[in-house]
Amino acid sequence: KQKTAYEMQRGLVGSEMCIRDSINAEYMGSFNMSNRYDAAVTRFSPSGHLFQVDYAFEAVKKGACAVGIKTKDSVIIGVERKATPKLQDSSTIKKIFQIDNHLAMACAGLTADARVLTERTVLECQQYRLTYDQPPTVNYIAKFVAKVMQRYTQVGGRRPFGIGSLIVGFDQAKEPMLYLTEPSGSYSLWKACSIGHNSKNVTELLEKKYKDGLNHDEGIKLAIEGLLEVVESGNKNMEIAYMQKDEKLVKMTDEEVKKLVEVIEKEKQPPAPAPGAGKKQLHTQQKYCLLYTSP
Amino acid sequence: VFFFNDTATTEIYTRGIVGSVRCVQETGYQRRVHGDSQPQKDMECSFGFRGKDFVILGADASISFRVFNLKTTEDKIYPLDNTIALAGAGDPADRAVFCELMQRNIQFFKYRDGKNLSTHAVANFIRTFLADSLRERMYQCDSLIGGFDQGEGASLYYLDYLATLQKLDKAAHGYGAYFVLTVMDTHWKENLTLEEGIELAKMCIAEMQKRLVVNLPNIIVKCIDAKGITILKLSQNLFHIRFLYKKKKKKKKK
Repeated sequence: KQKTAYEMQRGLVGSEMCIRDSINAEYMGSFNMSNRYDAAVTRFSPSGHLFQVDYAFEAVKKGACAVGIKTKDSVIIGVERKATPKLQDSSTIKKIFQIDNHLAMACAGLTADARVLTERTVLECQQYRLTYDQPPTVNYIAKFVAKVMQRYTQVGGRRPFGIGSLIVGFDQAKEPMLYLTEPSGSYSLWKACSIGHNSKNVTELLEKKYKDGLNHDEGIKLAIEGLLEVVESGNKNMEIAYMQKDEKLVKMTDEEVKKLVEVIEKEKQPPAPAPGAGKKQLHTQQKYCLLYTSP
Repeated sequence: VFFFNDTATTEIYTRGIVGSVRCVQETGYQRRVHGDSQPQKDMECSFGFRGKDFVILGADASISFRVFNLKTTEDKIYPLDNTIALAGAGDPADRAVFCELMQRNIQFFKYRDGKNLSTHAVANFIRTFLADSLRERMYQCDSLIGGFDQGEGASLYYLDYLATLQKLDKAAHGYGAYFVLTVMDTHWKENLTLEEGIELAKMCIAEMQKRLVVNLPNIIVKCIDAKGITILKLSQNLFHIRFLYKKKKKKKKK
């Protein structure tokens, strides 16, 4: 039984050991029954959830959308660029981080957590190089990032990282790799995935349109299409970077992205009706309506 | 470096640099007890000088242990960044450990901050690192740091194993320094062109190979400029060049 402040050692008051006085518990007790168990990471709920970790996932869902696509010979990251205030210099906001010569990482969620985690990963890359005199593999770094994130889900007094990250690079066999790490500390290998807000829509699109053996240009188009689901139309709102077999991270310029956005938008629009065919079109529309409403 | 003990959650943030200062406990003074009549570090020679828009660094390519010549093809000039290199001379183990550590740290700063450090910053970082680690251990490695920055141009820094840092036009380490410095004092001038620099390097090597009691068959010479770090292909055994040089003079006299 959990003890109140009066029943326990004074030194433990305020720790996870004692019941917290929260006003919210009374208000929200009705729609969040498990509020008791969410005050600390180190407590499971009876249903087997770690609520702090679940809430960290929610933080990721609020972050700027990031899309990763693995093609036959390259790997592509696209990030949504959120609208910055007029007076802010947007060049200082980094979403796609270069971790090492041959690795890159994009994070969605709390930007400060992303910064801390990427710095730690950069340090680990150099430490690995010092120890083994060879560049770290994507798998190793993904596992490392996941390991760091998992630590914070098991230790009291600290909260989990509120970010999910896409880690890209090439493995020793020169195959492109895309890893996803989540606040729970799990990491997985993907062909194409997205994280951040509205990532569900993007993932649906990717599931429909992704094919094995896409080439690089098709991959970039798919990434932009995915991001267009999320952002307001326009090249200013997205940042695309890719890595090809030479393992160098290349950031696409705004003009290149703009051109592709225009191409995609043209393809989306239905073909313009021929002049004088207005009546015919109505007829076909009616036909479709009939088809739709019939049982 | 974050780490978690099982008993308590303590976060130890070292200076956020790669490698641990608390590593090998043996200090330079302890090593002297081994009974070497000469400290091993002086037998390794390196030299460098600054030209108009380049720095030339040379380091002998031998690893010797007492009377044995173990290897004659060791590259002791470590690239720290695209346009900065570190020539290490000293105890082979310390030199390798120290120089690799510096490589990794400079690369770490580059990826962490997203921007390259200047040669001045790099030289001072290395000096600070050496000076701080002197409290616990000595890295018996004399260094020459040569680099090219866009605004500053070429710069050469002399760094001692006791963390003495000086920005110089020409510098050398080891016993070979006694000979090489005289050659450089005579023939170095401001705004050397690359050809003149190569000639000066050849003269330095010839002098070292002629006068130093230790045989240094190979000396690796690298040029650092705006393009990056390139190995200069000088003739490996330059003993004969001295004679060639003399011969040229004789011709002029005639």
